[in-house]
Amino acid sequence: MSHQIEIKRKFKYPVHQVWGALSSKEALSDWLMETSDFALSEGHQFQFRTKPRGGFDGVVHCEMLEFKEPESMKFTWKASNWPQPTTVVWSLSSIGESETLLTLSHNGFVGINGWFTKKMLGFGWKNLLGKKLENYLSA
Amino acid sequence: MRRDPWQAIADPTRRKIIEILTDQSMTISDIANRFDISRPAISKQLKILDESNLINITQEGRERTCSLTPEGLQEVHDWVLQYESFWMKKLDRLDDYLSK
Repeated sequence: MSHQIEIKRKFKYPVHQVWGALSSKEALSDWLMETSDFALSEGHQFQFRTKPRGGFDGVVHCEMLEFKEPESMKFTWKASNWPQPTTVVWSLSSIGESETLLTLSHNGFVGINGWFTKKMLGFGWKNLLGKKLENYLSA
Repeated sequence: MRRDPWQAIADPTRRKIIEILTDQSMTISDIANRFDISRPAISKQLKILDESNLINITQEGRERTCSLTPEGLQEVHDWVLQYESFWMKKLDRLDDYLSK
């Protein structure tokens, strides 16, 4: 069982403008997380930094896998304390001339959370999960 | 000592231990019998799982019994939910950024 996060969001800005916010390190540092070495280059490794918490030192290690300006971008995403990387994919498409549909997919949790989810469900925790989920959603 | 559960599940032997404990609680000897590695090596892995709050070890007579711990598992599971929320917030920020 694998788990994937997929979020679609419409922006009232043209594709090239949204792409610009996803592909410049200044923009990413502003809205996503601090990065000093992001670059649009396949195979390029870069990092995002945020506040450390718990077992996480605040550094996310990434590698640009592929990109097609201004339609898609795919890179790995591995917090320093994860056993293996996950993958983030941005997909952009135009809605008319001035709007953009942005799709974020974050997947690759097979070995981490997907495995865990499966174990937990096998353990008969659906009720507990439901309760926790409800608390989470109403928080 | 409190360990990071992510690191605890990064190891295949420890994942296998969790896997067999999802079916039932087991004594350390029973667990060790399922593996081709030495009992001290298994004990070491169990100690790490215990310190990560993923399992509970209780003394029952002469034997020690291991069972899975809800809280530790929950912590790891909650993570994906948190991550989805992380991205939602970031996309709000992206919208703010674009409107500047």
